[in-house]
Amino acid sequence: MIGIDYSRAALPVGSRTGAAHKNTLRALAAPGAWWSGPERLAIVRETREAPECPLCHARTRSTFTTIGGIEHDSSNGLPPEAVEVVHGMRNDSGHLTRHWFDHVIAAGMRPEAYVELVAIVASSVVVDTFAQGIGLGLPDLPPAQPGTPTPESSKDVVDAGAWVPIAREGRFNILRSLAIVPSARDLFFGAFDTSYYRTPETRFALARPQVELIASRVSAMNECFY
Amino acid sequence: MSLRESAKNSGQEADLKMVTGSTSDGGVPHGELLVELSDAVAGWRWDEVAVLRPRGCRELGPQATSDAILVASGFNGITRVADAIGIRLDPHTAEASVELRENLGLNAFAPQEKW
Repeated sequence: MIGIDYSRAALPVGSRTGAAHKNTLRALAAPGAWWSGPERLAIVRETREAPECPLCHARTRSTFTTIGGIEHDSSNGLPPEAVEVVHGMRNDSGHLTRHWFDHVIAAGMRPEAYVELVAIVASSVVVDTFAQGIGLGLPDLPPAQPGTPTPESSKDVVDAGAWVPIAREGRFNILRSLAIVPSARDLFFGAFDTSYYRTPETRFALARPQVELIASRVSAMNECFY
Repeated sequence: MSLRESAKNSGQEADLKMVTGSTSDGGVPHGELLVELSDAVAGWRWDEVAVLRPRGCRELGPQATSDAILVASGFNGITRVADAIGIRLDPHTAEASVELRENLGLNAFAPQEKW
């Protein structure tokens, strides 16, 4: 059993969700396009530990405008700019700005590596939040898989006013957002898909207005404009 | 689909204020409980979630409670993608949420310095 066993939960969990979250954990331990398996797991661990960071507590509700001189509480061996992204996304995502992003890129991170990092953090947030929400606690992480990243940078993207190029085609920008690194897009939406009406077979034991209320409420709580 | 649109399709009228402030049921069945559960899950307040889970099982049923946590978990992730990629509002989402944005002040979440 890899990392997570929803059959032990007090609440019923659909088989598609169980399989999707297991696949997510497995994928997080494997080499990606720009980060190795050990690095991807270090990002997940950093995401889990970020809430305890004293610096983030001290600057909550600030604007995350600088990188230089800032030291987060971190012990996972990631570059400082990666730690900054993880803590910013985990602890104050509603206040991230273009200026902050530009500093991250100027510090040496490729936009494609940034996109994959975003997908790793967000995927782990989905799985960890759910596992804890149903009372199981944080899933164990599988061992890191060996191998080197296989760089990806899709050309089928366009500047649509976001911080990074997004998919050339698509109705909703959120679904276009991770397209520059297809494996990162697949990682995140693999984790997310059963959480909303992304596929025709998705069914909830809630009425549509109830699902939309939860979605809207969480978006507002996270101060998400989109 | 927006909350208001989906509520209308279900023959209901949703009170949009419950999205950001009110904890009344707002016209959505079990809305008050769903808001409390959403807040606790998205805020990673597991002690509160532990109290709300059995209440959810009694009032909504076990599968609906699990689904509510699943939706909240998914949006806890996808909002972070939207914020970290700095995507703009697309025409489809904008059209569907004009009233919601005006009524609830959601435009304040997109200050000029965002881009």
